[in-house]
Amino acid sequence: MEKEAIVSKLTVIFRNVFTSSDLILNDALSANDVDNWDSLTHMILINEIEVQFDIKFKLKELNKMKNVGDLIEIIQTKLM
Amino acid sequence: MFQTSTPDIIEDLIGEIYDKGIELSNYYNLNLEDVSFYKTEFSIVIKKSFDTFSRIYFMTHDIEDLKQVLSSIEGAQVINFPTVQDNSIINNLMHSCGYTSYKVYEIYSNNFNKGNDTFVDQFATEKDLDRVKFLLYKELDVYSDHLPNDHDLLEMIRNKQVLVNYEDEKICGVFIFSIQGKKCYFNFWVDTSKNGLFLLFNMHNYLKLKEITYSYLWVNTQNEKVIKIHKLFGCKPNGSMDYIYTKNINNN
Repeated sequence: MEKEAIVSKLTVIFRNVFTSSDLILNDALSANDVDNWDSLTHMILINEIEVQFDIKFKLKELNKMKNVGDLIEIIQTKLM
Repeated sequence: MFQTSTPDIIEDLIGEIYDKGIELSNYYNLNLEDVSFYKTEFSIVIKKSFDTFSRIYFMTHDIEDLKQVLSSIEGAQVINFPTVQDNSIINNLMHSCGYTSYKVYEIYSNNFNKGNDTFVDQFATEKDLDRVKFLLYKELDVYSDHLPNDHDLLEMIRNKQVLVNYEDEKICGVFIFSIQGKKCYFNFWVDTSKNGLFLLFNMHNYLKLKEITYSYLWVNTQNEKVIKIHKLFGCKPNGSMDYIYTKNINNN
């Protein structure tokens, strides 16, 4: 899947999870930038991404994920 | 029963359980330095020791298996279980393993800054460490409030994360916060002064100065006075709860 398509799908997920209809994703975006993105909503987000993309993250991948750019990169490798 | 190892090895062991599929977990990005752990085929339980008690973290693929392990742990213990969902499963598990419901905390968040331009630059300095620590440990709850040790508190003071309040030239209030990008987390607030809400107002004034519009904190759901004050500043509950259970502590 192309990066653009991944971002588009992720945007819908992020907007739903954080109930923010104008949220715009970029590579540098992290929990520090989004209201309500805490440890609990992070787990909801990850679960939703796993379901929507039909993938499963490794725990180490989750621990290393620092921003949306990292997330997209991991999704890309899993969809290859 | 419990053993120690390097953080890398413990992380691998947690990963083994994670890959099987999580049935229940209160583990999230815990610093794995200086912890001990117990692992079965389906569960891992991590113990972090403090002066008078331990905090217990777990991840399991099989709740019955976890039940066996938790039931056998001795000594004073505290378990936090943060969730946005119904807590009946964890509640039943905890009670069947001998734990008692202790407190429930909830996240309150605020995206409306009520601060003004009158921030008073009144941060704690290193010489205030003992007084700040005294107030925190006297006024707050060591089991539920995740109070900082000397090292962490000193670092917060050096980082200018500790605002204080004076009465008769003595520190009578402490507000500790953590700026996280465009957000601010309120770690601790203690105010024994008679001058109302100066410290809280000053905190909000500092947020205005830093152009931070979103703040959040955990509040004890039984602490109606504090909830009322934060609501006056625009805080609202966001539905994230932290259910706290204890076993063998003095309060039980």
